Amino acid sequence: MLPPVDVPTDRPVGGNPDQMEWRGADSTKRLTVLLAMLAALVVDAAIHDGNWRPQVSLVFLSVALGAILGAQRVLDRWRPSKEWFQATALGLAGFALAAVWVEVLLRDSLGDGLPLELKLLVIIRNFVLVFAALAGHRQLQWLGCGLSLFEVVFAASLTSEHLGHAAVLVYVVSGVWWLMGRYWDGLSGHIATRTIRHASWRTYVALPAVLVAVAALTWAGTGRALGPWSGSFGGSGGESRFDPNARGGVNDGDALVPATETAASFGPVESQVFLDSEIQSLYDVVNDMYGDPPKIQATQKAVALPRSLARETEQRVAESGDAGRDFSTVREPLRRPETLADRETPALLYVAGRTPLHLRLEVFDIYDGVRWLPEPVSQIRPPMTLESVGGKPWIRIPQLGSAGLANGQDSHQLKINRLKTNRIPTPWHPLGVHIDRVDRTDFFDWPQESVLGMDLEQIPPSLVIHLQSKPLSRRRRQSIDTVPGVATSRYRLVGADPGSQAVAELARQWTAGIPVGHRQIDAIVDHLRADYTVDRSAVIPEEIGNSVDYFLRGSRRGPDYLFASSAAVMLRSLGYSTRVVNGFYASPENYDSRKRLTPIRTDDLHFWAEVYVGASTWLEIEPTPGYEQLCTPPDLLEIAWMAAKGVRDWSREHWPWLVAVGCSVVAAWRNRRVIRERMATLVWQLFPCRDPRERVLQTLRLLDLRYRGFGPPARAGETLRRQLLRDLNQIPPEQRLFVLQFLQCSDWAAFGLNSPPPIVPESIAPLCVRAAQIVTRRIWANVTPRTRWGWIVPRRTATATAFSLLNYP
Amino acid sequence: MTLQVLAPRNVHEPAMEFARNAVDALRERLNSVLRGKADVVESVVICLIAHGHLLLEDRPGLGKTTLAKALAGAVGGRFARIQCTPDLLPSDVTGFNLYNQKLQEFEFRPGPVFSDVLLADEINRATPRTQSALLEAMAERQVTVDTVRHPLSQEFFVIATQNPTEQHGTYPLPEAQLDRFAMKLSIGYPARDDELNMLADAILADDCPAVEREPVLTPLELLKVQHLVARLEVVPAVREYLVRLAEATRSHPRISLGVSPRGLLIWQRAAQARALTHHRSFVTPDDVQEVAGPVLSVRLVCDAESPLPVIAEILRETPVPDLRSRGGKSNA
Repeated sequence: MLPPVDVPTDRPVGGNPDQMEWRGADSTKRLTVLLAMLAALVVDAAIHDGNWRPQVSLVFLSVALGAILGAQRVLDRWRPSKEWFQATALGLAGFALAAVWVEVLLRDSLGDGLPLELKLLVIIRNFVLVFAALAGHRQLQWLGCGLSLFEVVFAASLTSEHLGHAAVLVYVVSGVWWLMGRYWDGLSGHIATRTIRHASWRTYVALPAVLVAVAALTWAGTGRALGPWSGSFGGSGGESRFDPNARGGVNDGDALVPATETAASFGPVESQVFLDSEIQSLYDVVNDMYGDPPKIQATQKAVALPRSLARETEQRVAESGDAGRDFSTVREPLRRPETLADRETPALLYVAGRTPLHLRLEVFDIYDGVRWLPEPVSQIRPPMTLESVGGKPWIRIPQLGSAGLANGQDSHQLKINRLKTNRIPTPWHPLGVHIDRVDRTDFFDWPQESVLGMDLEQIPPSLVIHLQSKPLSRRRRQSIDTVPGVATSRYRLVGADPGSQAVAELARQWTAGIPVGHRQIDAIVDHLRADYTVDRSAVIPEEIGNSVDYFLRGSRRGPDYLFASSAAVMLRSLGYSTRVVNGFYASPENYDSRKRLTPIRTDDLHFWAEVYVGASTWLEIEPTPGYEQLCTPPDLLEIAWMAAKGVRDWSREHWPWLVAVGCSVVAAWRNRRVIRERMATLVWQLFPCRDPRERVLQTLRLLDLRYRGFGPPARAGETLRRQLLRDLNQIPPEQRLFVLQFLQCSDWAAFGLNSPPPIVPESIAPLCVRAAQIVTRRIWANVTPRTRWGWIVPRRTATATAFSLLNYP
Repeated sequence: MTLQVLAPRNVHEPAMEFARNAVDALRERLNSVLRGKADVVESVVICLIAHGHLLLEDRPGLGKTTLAKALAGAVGGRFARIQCTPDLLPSDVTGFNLYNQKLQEFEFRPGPVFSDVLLADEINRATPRTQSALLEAMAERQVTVDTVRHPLSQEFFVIATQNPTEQHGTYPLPEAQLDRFAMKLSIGYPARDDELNMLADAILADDCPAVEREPVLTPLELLKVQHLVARLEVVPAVREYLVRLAEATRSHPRISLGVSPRGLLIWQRAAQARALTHHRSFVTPDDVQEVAGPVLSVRLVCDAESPLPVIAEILRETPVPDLRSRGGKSNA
């Protein structure tokens, strides 16, 4: 598989070292880009470990790849000098320092940021990508590949993503190939004049074998091989200091201090023993979160329930014996103990799997203007079936109906820790549930429709519950265009009081001219999310008869249950069947990437609404700002659509900046010749090359730029030398000698590599300045001030004349 | 700041200075003989110091013979002339073995090729058999008579002339023989002022023409200059440029016979010679371009009457090495 080497013997060994460098660099340039891309992929896997969306990374890498190849193309044409590469290296150092300062600013101002080790990886990744773009330079190519190796090893120790591990293996194979290429290139100019590589048939036979080997190794679990590396690299956690952005390290600051006091704060495992401790009931959790409900007289209810319904409600309450299950939207001001917000507060449960995730616990159907009454115990209990999957008992849940809105499949694990309830937090559209060694269906129950429960007094702490569910498809959601009703009127009940009528009128205003279906639902939700503020401390005064009306038209701020209630009530007034759901919200912001779990605490208790869309399907809607819904991972089309939407929104918000930047870009483009010439002149003046040969070439490049930008157009096939000679007649005779001498020096600089300079080296630099002055004056003679200075000079004014008098080399 | 233009530094190198003086003197001598034809004289000098042979193609009376004789006189070597006719025999060119009755053995009587400068006047009037007798002499600088090899002078230089207008009784030179010439030149009619000066000079002229003056360099000195030319620097980018040009001649749709590898070597040597005539010790792409016309027009076979427009087109379309970078890395 080794590439053959071609050693021509009819040419002398050795040659021009510069040329060898370019040739050698060219042959492994593309491989360097591939290594940089793979390294960036592994870094992305490390950054988003546990919650990684490879397609998003691929979009980023595609953009980066395009930029790198574009930059390489430009550099190939431009062929920058050694000084340019040195200046670029200095610029990169500044760029790296800037990235550090940005991180500090982010942390101080926004309280957000990456763990330090990941920030380091991001900086290295950026360096490697830039070096990949500069891979035409031999030393920078070496540097980029060396850095990428460190980057891959470091990042691989921080990720457990299989695709990331596969990228590491491909990197190793490509890296070996790169090293071979560098070795052969190293022979160029030493024992061979040049080397040629071409793929033989063996390469094409070996390539699939390598790919199969990579897949097999990935499947076999590269994590075991990569795991021990993690100990070799520093982490951002500390023993005595809490870093909110830290991902790990010894003790993770003070986060694990309570673990020494109570074992319950450990991440529970299936083998863990049951620990008895003070555990909050669901009722306590709700009151801790939202405050205690005031005692309200029955006569204060705003909605007069139908007799049959009222009787049913009374009977249900009497039967359940679970006092306080209803939820009042009018509550006492929250007196939350300070410790509640502390990070040491143990989690009620943990969620492993994709987030954000809504987990149902309690469903409310009747709203009397102040209170939400819970949905009655489900009378229809479809039988569950037992299924063995891989030797594990799985309880298959009958299809609850998704009206074709669900797509794909998600798996989550819930680890109950400190929650006293017999209800299983249930995701939207569950498919199955598995608890280790529980192989009987009668262990499970339906306390409410679409809320799972266990036939126990409470779910034992540290129990691990595996759930399978179907996520909502964004695209299919767009197909909702009807308002199907539910048989019972419980979900459509709205009051007849003035407040309810005002809410209904507001709903009609918000949805005026919008067709029935998801667009109306979205209109209500979007209004609530955009125009109202979440304020957990806001309370509804006790004397208010209709809390939704007060919230919508009065305070315009409140806790999440008011958002959910408002959405449900407004949609009911438009004819939809809705209900309000209470449960937990697993927020991606709380994701602990080290443990790969999302802890759920008391303040993750949440209310949202659901709309009936037919076929026994209740569609989750999220009217509270800051909360998102779990949907199927977006495909590339959706990502592109969301990106376009984001750009549009951003443009709307920042249009003054956009206009200013746009105008600047247009002006810069119109004046690009002038700007480029000015920049080149600045570099030529500030950074003169010390080597006489390089100084001549630097001057030639400047003159060439001026000729191309402002001089008469060159004839086809005409060299710069001939162009200068052609213009020689228009230069004063006493100055021609300087130009001719400069041309001699130019010939020597470009083609007389082993020849002595035509004049003494000390005179070359001043000759360059003088020749540049003479030639430039000749070029400027035929150029108007406007062309020469761009738009900063008016067409015909005194300023223009003044500018025209300025002569500069 | 006062800046003085200094004299070129490499003239202090003895070999370069000697070569420069020799070339300048040669050029001056030839210019004094052939008025107003500095470019032709330049090419003749380049051809001579590049160690190539020259084919002059033009109408009668334009100074072909005069130029050849002046060149022979300037290098101070032995001069010989062959007036080619259809009845000219190969032995008239190379020489022949004659039986010496006194010594009772054959002795070799050298022909006109045993000279330093040979003028083959109206070469296309000789028969192909006689023309081919010159092949070995021009290519290998030797002749073989009766299986005996006779080396020629090291600085052997052939100037052949031919008349393009007369077609009757002529034998066009085959491509193989044409390829042995380094350059083909046309002198052309002089300008009006030059003709007036020529007439004025003729009135005052004595019987000693310029061609019979003292030589400006000896054959050995010419050989030194030719060796120096061969050592001048040609960077890889310029060599690549030459190869690209050669490839372009071979793939051009209007050219049926492109430049051969031998022609390419001659082209590089001619470019080196031009560099020396411009007092440089390295070759630039301009040197390559300048000598392209004379070098290629003798060996390209194209569908046009004159290959010069095609050559100009090739030079125009082939990327030139970049003057702005060290080593002239090509734009291609």
